Amino acid sequence: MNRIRASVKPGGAGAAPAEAPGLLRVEDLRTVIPSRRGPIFAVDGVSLKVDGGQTLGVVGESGSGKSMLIRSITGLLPAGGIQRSGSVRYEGHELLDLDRARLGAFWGVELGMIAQDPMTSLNPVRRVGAQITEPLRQHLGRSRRQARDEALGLLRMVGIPDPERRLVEYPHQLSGGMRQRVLIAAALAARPRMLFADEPTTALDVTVQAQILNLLRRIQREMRMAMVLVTHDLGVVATCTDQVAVMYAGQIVETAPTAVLFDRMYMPYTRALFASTPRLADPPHTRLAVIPGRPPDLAVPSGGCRFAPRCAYARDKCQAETPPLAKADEHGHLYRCWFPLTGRAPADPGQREPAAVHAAADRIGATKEDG
Amino acid sequence: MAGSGTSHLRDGDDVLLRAERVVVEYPMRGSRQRVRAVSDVSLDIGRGETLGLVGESGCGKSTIGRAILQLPRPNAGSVHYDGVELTALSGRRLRAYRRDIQMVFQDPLSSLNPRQQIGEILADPLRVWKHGTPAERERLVADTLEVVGLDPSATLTRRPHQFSGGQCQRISIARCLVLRPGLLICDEPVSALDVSVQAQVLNLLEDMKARYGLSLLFIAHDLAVVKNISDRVAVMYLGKLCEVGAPEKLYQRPAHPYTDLLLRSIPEPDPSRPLPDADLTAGELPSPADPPSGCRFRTRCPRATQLCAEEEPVMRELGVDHHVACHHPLPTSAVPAAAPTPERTPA
Ligand SMILES: Nc1ncnc2c1ncn2[C@@H]1O[C@H](COP(=O)(O)OP(=O)(O)OP(=O)(O)O)[C@@H](O)[C@H]1O
Ligand SMILES: Nc1ncnc2c1ncn2[C@@H]1O[C@H](COP(=O)(O)OP(=O)(O)OP(=O)(O)O)[C@@H](O)[C@H]1O
Ligand code: SF4
Ligand code: SF4
Ligand SMILES: [Mg+2]
Ligand SMILES: [Mg+2]
Repeated sequence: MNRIRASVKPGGAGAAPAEAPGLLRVEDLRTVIPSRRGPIFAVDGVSLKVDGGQTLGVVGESGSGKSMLIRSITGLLPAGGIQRSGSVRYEGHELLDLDRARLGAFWGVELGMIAQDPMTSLNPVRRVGAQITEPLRQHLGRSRRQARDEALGLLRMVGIPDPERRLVEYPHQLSGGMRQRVLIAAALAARPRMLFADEPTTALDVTVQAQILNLLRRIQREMRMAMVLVTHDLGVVATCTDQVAVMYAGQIVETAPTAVLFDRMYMPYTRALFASTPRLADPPHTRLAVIPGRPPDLAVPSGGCRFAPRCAYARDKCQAETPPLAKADEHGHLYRCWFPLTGRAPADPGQREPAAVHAAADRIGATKEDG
Repeated sequence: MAGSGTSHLRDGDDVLLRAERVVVEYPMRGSRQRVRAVSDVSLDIGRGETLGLVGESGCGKSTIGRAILQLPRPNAGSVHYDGVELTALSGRRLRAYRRDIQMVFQDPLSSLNPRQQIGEILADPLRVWKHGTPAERERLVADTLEVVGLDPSATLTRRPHQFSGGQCQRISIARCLVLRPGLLICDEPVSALDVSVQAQVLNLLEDMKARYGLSLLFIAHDLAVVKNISDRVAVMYLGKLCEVGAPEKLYQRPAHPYTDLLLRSIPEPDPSRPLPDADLTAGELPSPADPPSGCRFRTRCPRATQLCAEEEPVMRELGVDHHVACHHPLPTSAVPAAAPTPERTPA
């Protein structure tokens, strides 16, 4: 098997071959939020790459830094002295160097964003129609008439009934699911080349979700749009992404092409996260695996593996030394663990016992420390 | 109308709750019209049984849950609980039954008083119901906290905001359990929780059911979660019941086209499987204020005929513990012609 040349630095991560530039390339991104309890290391040395037409899925528990990662990449950060370091290159432009005004030129046509909270990202005092037609008129130079027609088409595409009426309504007049769909329509209006979608379908019903996911896929194929998709739905990850990054406590702890990751998980956290999710194929009353404890406090940087306090396999070394993102044999598979699992992913229900049940034999020795 | 009838209701002492032909209407803002949020729905729950209730947002799941508690009293229909007709009760006698039927809500933090200590929050219902002596109440509170997996000494004097979402949900479950209710109505109890925490709460509810012989009405829109916890599942659409049955039957051989659509729309956690096809008619979601004639699902149903527009289908039996309200149900005896999903192929 070809060994890929991933540029892995200790504490950093490389999700892709070093030589291919990629549409979006993030290197060793760090985001520090000042707080009363001291600095919060919300994004802590993340590297990743996304090519045109590709989708990167980001999964992880609440508070693991998924939204902060997206906001740090796009620069859409809350006010309050947040510091970023590292590099975010979009088509060769270093986004971290751009001020808000210059970054603004990328919005709409180049970059699109579907934020996690639809209420805060729609302007409450502007009509729905204006919020969708504005990017069309501003970035694509459409006439008022053309923009209105396209907005109607977009609202229909995201499954909003009676779109003519909705155009003249305000966000508070819409239900939560309806607002989410307006947000999706607005983000897609100017056909961005790179879309950041933070839990875009979490608030929606499954039939509507299927519709939105198909719509995103269609646009992606037509426009070669790249996407970073944050979701907690493993079904969405499996069917909509090319590469998956698993986040824990501000870091990527495992990343691989989607099919590879579902087939083989090295990091105990990844397996535990997957095993705690109820599955349709399981019989009723299947006991679910539970991850004990809580994610660490990001204001208290710890040495060693951040998952150690909750990990069934933790040994002394895990507490003492921080595992780097190491390469597995499979193409593009990286994980952060001293004592990786080698067992296959829990594909069939019979194998879905808690990670803790797997014996110590279920692993290979410590892999080489990558540097 | 679409999807009424009572043929799926059971008789006998094993039935704890029997809600029959329940109608709940809400006034519509800026109009004298009324919305029928729940329209002629019947369901029952056996003792020690968990009934899962699924359906799209706005179909009336929460409204049913509240109608059982008489909050508000349904506009029509009956709610029979343990041999007593709740819709005929009022005042003190109704409150006595509200003690036996408890409700857990989606957002644990906002349903707990932020200014109270956890000990007070749990003792309050006992005090209100004048249960035992203060010492007995204290013991019951501590015992119940232990049961839901919280250390009483580290919990009693703290306040809700000092706990995680999952811990808060366990506290609100404990608050319901101190009264040792017969029926627990859980309205989306895990929707706001992380998967790892969701697993803890689902396991806890199973344990509580085994320990106290609780009956559960479990409302959720996540079909995998509902399958995991339920002994019986009911599917709702636009204020009506579509299908009721044992989870194995309903998930493997859905008879109602809407149940089938729901199951088909769920992406499988398996990268070798395709993204589900979109429901192309989902844009035509009807409003509960102006439902289609006949079967309410007909505007989205691939099997709809003239009959579906004219006549409301009535619940009928397909087999043991499997009922459907549909004129042209999917075949449940043979393998459906459509592409099978894993749970439809024999294990
Ligand atoms: N505005 C903020 N001020 C201070 N801390 C913040 C802020 N936003 C996020 N954080 C912290 O940063 C960390 C990462 O949060 P983030 O919102 O990225 O998590 P997430 O993975 O998106 O979680 P979820 O799944 O709940 O959306 C958390 O510890 C959070 O408490
Ligand atoms: N207090 C109310 N006043 C007016 N209409 C209401 C009220 N509560 C609910 N409705 C309407 O009744 C219908 C059913 O609402 P309900 O909350 O029972 O749905 P649900 O199935 O619980 O939805 P969700 O999954 O979003 O919680 C909806 O159309 C809703 O808009
Ligand atoms: S490094 Fe150690 S503690 Fe961390 S995930 Fe691996 S085995 Fe567990
Ligand atoms: S076949 Fe007719 S009755 Fe059955 S769900 Fe479709 S429209 Fe309703
Ligand atoms: Mg988030
Ligand atoms: Mg509800």
